Amino acid sequence: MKDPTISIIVPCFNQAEYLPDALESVLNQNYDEWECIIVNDGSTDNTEEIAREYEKKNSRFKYCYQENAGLSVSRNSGIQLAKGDYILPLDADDVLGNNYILHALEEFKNDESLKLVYCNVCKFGLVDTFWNLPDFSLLELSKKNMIIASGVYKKEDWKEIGGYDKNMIYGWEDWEFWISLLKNGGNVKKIENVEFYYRIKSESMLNAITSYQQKYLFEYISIKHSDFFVELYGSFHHLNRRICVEKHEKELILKSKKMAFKLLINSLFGLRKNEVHG
Amino acid sequence: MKFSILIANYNNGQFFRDCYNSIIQQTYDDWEVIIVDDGSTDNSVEIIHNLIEEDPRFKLYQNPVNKGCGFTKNKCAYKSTGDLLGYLDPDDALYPDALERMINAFRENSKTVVITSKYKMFDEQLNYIGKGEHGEGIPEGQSYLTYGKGALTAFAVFKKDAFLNMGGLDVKMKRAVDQDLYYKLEEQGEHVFLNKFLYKYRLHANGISQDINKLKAKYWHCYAIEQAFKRRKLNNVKIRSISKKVRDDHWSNYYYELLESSNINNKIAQNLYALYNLIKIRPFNNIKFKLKSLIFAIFQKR
Repeated sequence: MKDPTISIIVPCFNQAEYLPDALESVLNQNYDEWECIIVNDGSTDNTEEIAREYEKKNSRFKYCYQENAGLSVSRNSGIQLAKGDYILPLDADDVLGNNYILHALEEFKNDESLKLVYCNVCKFGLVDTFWNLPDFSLLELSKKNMIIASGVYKKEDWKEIGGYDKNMIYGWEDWEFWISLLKNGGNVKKIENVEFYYRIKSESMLNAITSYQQKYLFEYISIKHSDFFVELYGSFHHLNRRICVEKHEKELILKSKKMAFKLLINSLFGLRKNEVHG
Repeated sequence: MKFSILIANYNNGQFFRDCYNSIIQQTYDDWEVIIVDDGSTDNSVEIIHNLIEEDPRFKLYQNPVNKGCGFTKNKCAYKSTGDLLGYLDPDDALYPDALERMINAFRENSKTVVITSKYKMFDEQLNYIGKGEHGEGIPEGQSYLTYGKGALTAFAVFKKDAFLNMGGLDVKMKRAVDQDLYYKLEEQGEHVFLNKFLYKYRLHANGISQDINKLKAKYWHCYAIEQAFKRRKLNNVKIRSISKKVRDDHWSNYYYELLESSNINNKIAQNLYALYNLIKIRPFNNIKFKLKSLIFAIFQKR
């Protein structure tokens, strides 16, 4: 058999219930030269049984097991084994549209400068809504992740940036990865069709990252990608000075007579946002 | 027992073929299909007509002008001749054993008025995506009105007697018609949950509501709750109702959302309307905020 063009990496941790949906959507791709590597990240459910079933069904599926090590490590070990030039990570509870790979590889063929191709998203399960992803820009990316985890990129780029960072222990692995991938240039393409379905479960709400964990992740990303943030926002020194200047200006305004009058009016009639649902 | 499948169509003819095929492949034979087209502006009627041809089991009616979902679904039911009725959207489809399982379930539970089940989700080409997370039984001592959470979902089948007895659907309603149906049905008698996937729900661009439509849906949902609340009080219905407070919570939630949306979209009239209603529902709750918002809305230059 010819080497596959694209490798789909499916890390699983106790998601056997949803895994068949993800793997069926891989089987249904309108494109044939793929392989799918299922990485069992130490699941305690019947993930192995299901993965083996699909291995039997189609030899393009490959199964491997590791002791529980988290999402970043699982994705990396899957990609390590990948034979394809292109990589598509797929979480075990999400689902691909049938033409995703076909369209994504077409985009890569048409535009050599592309580093990443992703698509529009529909949420399903508990809800049925389009997910309005903002258009890509480095500035947007610096504020928050606005690219789905299942984006198609080249394996050589993954190697060059050193893979998914295993220090992102609480989540946001993809965000950090996209910053690594894109901060030094390269084009990004969002396919307009919905080719990715993001599952919303009842328990999705419970697994939110705590503010303490967020603090850790933000600090880690800030340090690791200081070059990226300095490029966009200026140095810490510059930021600090800007804050000082703004503070000073605010103080001046506060002292002015006009402001005193305004404040009086506002305290009588003004709106404060935090009272909206009070 | 004769089964009537009720289809209210508005501009979904392009998907009707799958729906049609899923009906003629049913393992249960004694059925009819009532289709009412609600003044579609595309070639829906033509497509539907070409598919059903002269098959006497299918009956196609047309509203001369667009009348809305409540009116159209109501008309479907009144035109039907079956003992059991179930709504099916023309962009969705049924599993082949859907009717058979429902008929059997009604035979086993003769006192039951409505049986609901679960659905799976599909993409535009009807490729399977994943199961829907809604659909469950209602805990003892609760009702759909008090429990909510999308417990009652498609495929839902009910007795025609019960439908007639409850006086049909509210023809004014443009959305949340299913909620109106479920609240009324559970007042008529027992509900049973059949833990089977019988319905294919298609996700597609025309079908998925935008944010502005969500507010509208929310309004009609509140309206349905309001009607159920009044009805249960008036008729002394056995099934559990909500308290006045919960009803007010629903409404004030809706008006707070409307207020927020009108602030974002700079709609002054809507803003005042939302505020007026918030004050009307609970004059003395959060009064400082309301007064400020009012003055803000009147005097603020936009």
